Amino acid sequence: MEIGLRLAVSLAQIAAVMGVVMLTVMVLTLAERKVLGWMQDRMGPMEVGPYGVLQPIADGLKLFFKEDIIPAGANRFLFTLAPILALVPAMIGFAVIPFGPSMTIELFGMQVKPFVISDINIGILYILAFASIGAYGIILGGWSSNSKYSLLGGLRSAAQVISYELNVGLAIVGVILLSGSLSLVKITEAQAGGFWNWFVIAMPFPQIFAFVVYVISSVAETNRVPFDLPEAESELVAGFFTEYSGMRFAFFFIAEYANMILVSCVAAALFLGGWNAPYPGTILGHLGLDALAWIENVVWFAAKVYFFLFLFFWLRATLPRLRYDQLMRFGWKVMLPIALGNIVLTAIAAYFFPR
Amino acid sequence: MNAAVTTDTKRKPFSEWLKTLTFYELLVGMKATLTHLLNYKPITLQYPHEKRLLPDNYRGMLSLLRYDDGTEKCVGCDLCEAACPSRVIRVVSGEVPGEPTKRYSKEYYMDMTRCLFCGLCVDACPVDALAMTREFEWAVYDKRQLHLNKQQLLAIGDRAFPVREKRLELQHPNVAFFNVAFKHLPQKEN
Repeated sequence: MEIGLRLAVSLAQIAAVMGVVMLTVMVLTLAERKVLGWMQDRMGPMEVGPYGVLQPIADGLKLFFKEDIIPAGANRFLFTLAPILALVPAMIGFAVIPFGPSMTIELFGMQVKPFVISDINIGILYILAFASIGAYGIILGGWSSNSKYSLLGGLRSAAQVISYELNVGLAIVGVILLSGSLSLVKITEAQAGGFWNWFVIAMPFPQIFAFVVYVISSVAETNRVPFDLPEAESELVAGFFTEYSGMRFAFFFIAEYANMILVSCVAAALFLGGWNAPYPGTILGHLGLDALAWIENVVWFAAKVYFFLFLFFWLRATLPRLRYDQLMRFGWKVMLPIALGNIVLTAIAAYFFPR
Repeated sequence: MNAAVTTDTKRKPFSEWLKTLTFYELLVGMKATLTHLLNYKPITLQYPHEKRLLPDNYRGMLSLLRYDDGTEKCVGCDLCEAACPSRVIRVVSGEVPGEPTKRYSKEYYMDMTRCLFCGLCVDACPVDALAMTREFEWAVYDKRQLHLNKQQLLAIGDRAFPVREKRLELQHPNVAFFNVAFKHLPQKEN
């Protein structure tokens, strides 16, 4: 009974988070085309619904009813497995993201944390681990399609994700040194009390370099412009998902956007104070409405995440694609030394000025 | 972005290093895109719903014209066929029955799949029987629908040019004309 109830509450929480993520993915597919259009003096989709707001639904219906083609030379098992392998790690990372204040509420006689599915003490490590598995989906998808474009896209993706995951991992070490915890909830709580406590500018050592390295590396890790070599449409048709159609293609597509949301959530939680407002406490809390303060916190978190998502669109509208050797040189010769130097300096600062 | 690419031995000035370090060029580009986002003035025309104003000399679909009494202008002289660089036009000329000095086009075909809308046929026509309309929406599912005969071309002309010219000999006393039946001369013996 107790276990069944706990399971039901957890499943409800998971369903709610998945719903929000899928809804955000839907919004993103439209928002990306709209923002990109506006930045390029176009209008973006305008036909479906008023100002094209129903375009994601039309796209979803189209992909759902499209014929599912498996190429004759493809490895059927891996071809089927790859989209799932890409989507699941992208979705599973949201389990440890704190969307709001870490409070506990009493529900059916149980302690429930409403804004985080599971506050495990290795949260950030868990996200990094599953992000690495997501690369397998791309590589296997590229290999099993039995197509030269897919294979080249998969190979590029393998090299790129491995190079830049290193930088992501090293960039967040500074934050972990300062906060003394791997749990995203504890890291966010350590940044409470105003924007001067956010790790991006917090004393004793501002993580601004780590922040820049993290943002650039996360753009590369999600295969977005200007690091979209795995799916460079002018060179590789569509890269690793050239041979995919219908729902399998949609899985890769959703995985890419879910990954964008995930790295944005992590960036917001690690560097920009997560759910904390840029001023001490919350306005609703100061007005005596402590029961409603969580609304303000959640809105701040959403605002930060959407800022990062906008940054992704903004970069895409601005920058051309890097050449492959430039990508590798930039990752290993520029980003990696900066991240390592940041760790050394942060460690020295954290030793002499413990928080 | 690529700070490591320095093949030249000259030392860069400090301001260049500062620009590289602060992603100055990237920020300039991002400012440009943001400016366009904030001053959002789309140049898009929502085509099927709103259409742009065509210029006066727009060269669209070809058509055959009639005089105001409903007779065809075309005299079957084949000059348009000779002028056409893409060999779009095929004219089968013939005498008007009962009027041996007067000719007309018995059949007139245009293969619009090949037409490049240069307007040379319109220039070549001595009696202004050909004209270019402002129609351009001629997408069809079967390209054989673009092989037009005389009736179709006349119909295009009818709907595109509702105001018609008078017959040449009635336009002005000083206008030169030809290919007109001379009723006062004796008929050719057939």
